[in-house]
Amino acid sequence: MKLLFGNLKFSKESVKTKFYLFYLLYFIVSALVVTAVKRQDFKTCEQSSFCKRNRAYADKLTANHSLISPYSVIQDSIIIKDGIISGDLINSENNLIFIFELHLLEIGAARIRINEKNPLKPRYDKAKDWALIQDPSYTLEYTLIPSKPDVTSLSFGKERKQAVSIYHSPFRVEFLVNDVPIITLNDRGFLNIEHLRKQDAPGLVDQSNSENDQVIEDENDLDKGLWKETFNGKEDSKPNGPESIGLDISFPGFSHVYGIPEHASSLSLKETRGGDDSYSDPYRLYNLDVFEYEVDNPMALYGSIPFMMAHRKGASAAVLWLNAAETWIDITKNKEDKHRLSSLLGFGKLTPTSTSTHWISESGVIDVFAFLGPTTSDIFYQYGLLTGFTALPQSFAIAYHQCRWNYLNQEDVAEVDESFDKYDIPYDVIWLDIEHTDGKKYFTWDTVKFPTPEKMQTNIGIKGRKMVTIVDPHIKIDDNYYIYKEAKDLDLFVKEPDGRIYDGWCWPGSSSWVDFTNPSAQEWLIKKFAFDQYKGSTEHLFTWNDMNEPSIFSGPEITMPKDLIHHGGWEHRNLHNLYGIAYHSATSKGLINRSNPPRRPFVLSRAFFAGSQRYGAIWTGDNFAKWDHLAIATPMLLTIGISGLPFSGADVGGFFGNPDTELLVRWYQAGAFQPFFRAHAHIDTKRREPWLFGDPYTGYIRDIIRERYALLPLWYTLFHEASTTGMPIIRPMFTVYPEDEETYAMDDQFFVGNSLLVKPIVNEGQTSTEVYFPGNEIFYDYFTLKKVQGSGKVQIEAPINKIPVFLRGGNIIPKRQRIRRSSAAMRTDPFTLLVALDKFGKATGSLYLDDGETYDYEKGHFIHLQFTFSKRKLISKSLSVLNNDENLYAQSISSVRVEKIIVLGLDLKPKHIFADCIDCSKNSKRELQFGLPTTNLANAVIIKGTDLLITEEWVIEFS
Amino acid sequence: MAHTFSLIDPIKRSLTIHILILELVILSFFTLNAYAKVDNLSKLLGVEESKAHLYEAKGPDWTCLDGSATIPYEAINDDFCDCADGSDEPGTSACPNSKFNCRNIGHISSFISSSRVNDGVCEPECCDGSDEYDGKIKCPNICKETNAEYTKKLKELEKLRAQGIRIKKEYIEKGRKIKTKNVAELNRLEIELKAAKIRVKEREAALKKIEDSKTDTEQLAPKGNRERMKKIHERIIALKGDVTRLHEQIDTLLSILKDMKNNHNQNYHDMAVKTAIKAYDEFLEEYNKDMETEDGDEVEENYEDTDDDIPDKETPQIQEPSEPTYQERFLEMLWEIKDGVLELFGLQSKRYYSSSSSRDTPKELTAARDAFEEAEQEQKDIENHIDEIKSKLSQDYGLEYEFAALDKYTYSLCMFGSATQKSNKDHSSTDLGNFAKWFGAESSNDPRYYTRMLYEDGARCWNGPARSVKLYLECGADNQILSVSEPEKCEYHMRMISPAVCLDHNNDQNNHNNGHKHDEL
Repeated sequence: MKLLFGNLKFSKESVKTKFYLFYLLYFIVSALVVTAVKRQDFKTCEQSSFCKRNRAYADKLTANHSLISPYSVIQDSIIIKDGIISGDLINSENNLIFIFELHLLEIGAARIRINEKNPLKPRYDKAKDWALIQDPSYTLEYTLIPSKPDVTSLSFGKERKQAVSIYHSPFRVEFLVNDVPIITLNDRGFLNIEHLRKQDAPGLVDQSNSENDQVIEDENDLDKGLWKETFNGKEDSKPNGPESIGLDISFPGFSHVYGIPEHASSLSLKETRGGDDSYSDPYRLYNLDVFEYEVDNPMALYGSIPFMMAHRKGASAAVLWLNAAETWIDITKNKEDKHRLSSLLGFGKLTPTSTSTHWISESGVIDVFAFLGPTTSDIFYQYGLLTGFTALPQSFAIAYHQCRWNYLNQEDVAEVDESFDKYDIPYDVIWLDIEHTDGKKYFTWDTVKFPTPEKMQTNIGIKGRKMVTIVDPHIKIDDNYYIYKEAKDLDLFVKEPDGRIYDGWCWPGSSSWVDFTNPSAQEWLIKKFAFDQYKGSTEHLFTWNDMNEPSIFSGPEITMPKDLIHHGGWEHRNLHNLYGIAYHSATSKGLINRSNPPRRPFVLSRAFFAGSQRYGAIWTGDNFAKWDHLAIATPMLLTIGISGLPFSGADVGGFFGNPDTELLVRWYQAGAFQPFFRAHAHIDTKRREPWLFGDPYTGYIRDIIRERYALLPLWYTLFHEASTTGMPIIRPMFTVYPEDEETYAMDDQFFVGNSLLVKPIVNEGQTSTEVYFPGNEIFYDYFTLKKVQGSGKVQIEAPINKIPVFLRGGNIIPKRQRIRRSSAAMRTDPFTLLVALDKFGKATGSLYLDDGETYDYEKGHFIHLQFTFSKRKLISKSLSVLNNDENLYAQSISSVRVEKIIVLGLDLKPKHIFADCIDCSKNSKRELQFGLPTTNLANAVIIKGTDLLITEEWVIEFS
Repeated sequence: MAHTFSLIDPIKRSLTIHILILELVILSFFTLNAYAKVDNLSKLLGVEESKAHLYEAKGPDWTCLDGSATIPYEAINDDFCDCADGSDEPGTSACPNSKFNCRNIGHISSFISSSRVNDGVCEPECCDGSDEYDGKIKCPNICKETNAEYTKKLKELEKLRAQGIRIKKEYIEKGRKIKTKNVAELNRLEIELKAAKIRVKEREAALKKIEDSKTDTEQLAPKGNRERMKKIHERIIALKGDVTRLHEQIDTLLSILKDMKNNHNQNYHDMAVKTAIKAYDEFLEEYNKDMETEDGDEVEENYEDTDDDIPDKETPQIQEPSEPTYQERFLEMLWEIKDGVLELFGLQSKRYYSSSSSRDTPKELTAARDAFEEAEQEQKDIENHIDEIKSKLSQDYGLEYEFAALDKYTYSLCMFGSATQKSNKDHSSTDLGNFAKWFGAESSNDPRYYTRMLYEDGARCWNGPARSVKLYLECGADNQILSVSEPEKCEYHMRMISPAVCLDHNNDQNNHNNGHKHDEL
């Protein structure tokens, strides 16, 4: 049996054999020693010169209390006009002048901008063009508060409950709510704007009073990276020299801060400059493709949202640091408050911990928004008004997605599709990764594997299913590739500093990157999604944007060199974190525009920035089939969710590696309660479609996917809420119980909306867990409908077929109990209402529905119902016009019924149950049939509601 | 239980259908924008004919088929699930566990899951379109066409199967012959082996006798020489084995590295991997060069080696399958010269002695030794042959030995041997695995057992498992690989048709019925 390497001739007796063998073994062994993330591929703060300089600056000020911030307001420069307070600052160390503007905004927030007054050339200030939906309007509701001469104070907002004080010297800004300071800027004096300079100009700060030689040496060392930096042999030419900005932002009285995704870290952010369980590096925001990332780490990942929220009893506050350059954030918590606040707060013995943060960006201007709450939902709304609410997705997008790198060909796709039917597991979307293309040329098909893509899409489309193909931003350099040719001819590529088109390495090999910050590139890409342009695409086809950090295998830190040039001559360093959103935006618009009338897009992106919620979903990138990666998904998604981007998920099963059956089942259970629910796997892994595991495991996976489908009306209603109020879809415990301190750092359990408490099981072999039930409320086991005994921490059984999920008393959730093969096939199915009464016998809930595809809902074609249960009456009222002849959607579901109503926790069993319509002249009161299940349920009453229509208002009485 | 259809009263059947059609007409009449309200469905909708009597009205109430509850008769098919077994909703999607029966008049009736009723998709199982009646979508009755197509396909399949079965019979015949032949051969060989063993003993005794009859001094050297020769012979064989093994290991390692080069994750810039790939490329270049020039080098190396270890030029006696190569001839020549020179100068070393002594051995002794060795070899050959036949006889060639005829039938898959993947580009080939077992069913008595073959332990993938192949066999008139796919890295699926898996009609009918029986339960 002679095999292998037919082209090699082997002699029979070669003594060289051993020599070769030795070397071969050596290569193989050295190649196999592979650890997870290669930390050395990515910079630490120490290796990023501007971070190091700003940290050193902070250290200097912290170490020497006599040092104060050199920035102060120039006497009499302050002008207050139309909601804008502006003035000049001077840095006493170099006598440079800066301008600052403080905008009081209608949305209940304030904005502060600081820039050089006369910069050598303009500093980058376009992050706002991508992150904000528009320039926010200023409020005229403000009053000047008389104060000391070196302080300018105003109260603002309708009730003048919010206030801002600008301290002139040193420059410091304090935001107060109800006279209590909640955010202060430059409290610790870390404000630092490295002015643009010529190379021979003096350094960052004047060193006139340097204490000793050691310091001088250090500072010389700090000067090293000013004009050129090298990392892992890759040089950053830095022609503009140092241009970083830094500022400390403090949250007095707050012991917990959240946000600044994306990091594989806890919900409540950790300290980074000493303290218990702290990180040694700051949290970093720099969109990067990190291979096999580590959990519990502040390293940068694929996306960046420079938004941070602080919360304590009675108050919430947040900031948005609007900057798209590489950014680092140090966090410290003070056990004692040095700044005269403890007495003001009146917490008595319980001296609160304050949190101080230090924000450092490589370039740009200071542009900070302060959201003053006072509640977390106020902040979500304020932030949403500024950066946009999440786009209401097509309804299929929140169902289950089946992905793998790669489904090989049309036969493979057909087989997977059929198998879902065969095993009675619903799914909505099948995904094709990079191998579907002709040589990784996006917008093309490998015609051997996919000879008839339209037919393939139609075949799954008939069943109400969709397909997603990947379209990445790296463009293969190949003059025969129309995309490359067009982009080159239109001059859309990112350039080298010398003007040549940049050429890097990615999946297709040598590639170039379209500069999506160029409006022409946006326009061009949008057109590329037209059906006649993207050959083989149909309306069943949607898009996946991967590698848009951008990921460049040959680049520094696997991304784009910072000195590359974008549209307008801007260096990449200024806008790195925007690249992903710019691409996501164009793709999303492309999908909207390809249909007439337009249809809602679905685009999944890996990179993101503030505002990405307007364009679609994101996922947490290339995770690992390990328990700790399953565990970290919860805090990661919660964090992303409170940062304005609620449509997110983690690859079910873990992208790298092979999950064992238990891990996979647990991951499906967790994924079914996350907003974006997709299974995905690396090309090197074993197949893991749900039916490959055999019963009982396939059954467990089937059950939980089906439960997701049963709950789709709830999920869709929550997406609608998110798209109008900014409320996250899955919510941290502290946002639901803002007064319960026990919940502030809790990130292993969470709420879906306000009604379902979920605690995923994330440990191997675990069959019970402790769940925290806040308050003195009633909770029901979602699956058994039994009342939970006790409150606070309760031990809960969680065998392998069960994820702990609880229905919170006081809620009514809409469900659809008939599970079809796809969500589209369920659109005229009847509803089931699950009514869980609280201890006062009350409950509320809502249901939002529309066609799930078009923008007709914007013209009133939707239904939005409010359900209330109180005084033994369940009422369904419409929050919108239902009977309007113009509401085509309501008409289209006019025969859809509420087939079943399950009421939990009714104190007295009803003798009769009557239904009647509301505001109708006819006498339509009739008795409904009901049953009282004999099983040990929480006083459940099951009503057979055969003629209750979802599009009518009605009342049900329990007598 | 044989599966039967169209046994029920045709009048009743057409009545049901009429009601259904009537409903559909009414329904579609009401359905302008909205989907139809499905009031008052026939109580028989979705009920299979054989159970229709269970749904007849026998009073105001009706008991679920599992006896779990009694409900108003009107609650049958009222689109609300009352019975735990779903029996009250045969015609709607209300009960997740019920099955909807499409009568498919003119074709074969079939069941679909209740979740497919009114889901907006025309189920291929329901050619009569009865599964969609709420107006979302109109499914035409295509039973006539479906049946025609089905009948046609059935005929084709039948033809193919008949053809396949004929060939399979030949295979079985052939297989039997092979088996009989092998058994006979085995018997014959075993007898021969006995004879050979006796011969070896005899000749050994004869040889010993001759050797013993020699004087001590003279006999010692050749005997010592002989021992030494034997050892050297063994050592050379061992070395050859080593070299072959090492070459195989090189092959494996090269294949691993090639795999790594082709399949490593470029996304991850691991310097160790990159270095290894670079070194591999360099190595390969060097290695190929060496392979080309090796012939020349080898002479020298062999010479040096043999100078120390191999005492005489009897080396060529070691059985070589082919003619002496250039190197060997050259080597022999060198020895000739060396011997000649030494002799010339009267410097007969001990080594020379020993080497020449074998030459001086009396013809009688040589003959005896040759005879003994010949007998020994003969015995070995027979033993090998027996092993080979035994392994063939123990191979699992199917219930009726039908696969025996396919042994060594090479595609890029060698039945019962190895599967290989040959590159069209560089003619390199990769080991995908060796035949391990059949796995079509749990029991080997199940005819399906012999429809799936597993080939495993192929060349290991970079960063992955050893390659393996699952071969799926279907009935066909000839042997052909239909498709090969790699659904996950390094696990190949091959679809193949072969007459050897064609089942005759009776068997198949049983299976068919089993399937239906199951459905009906």
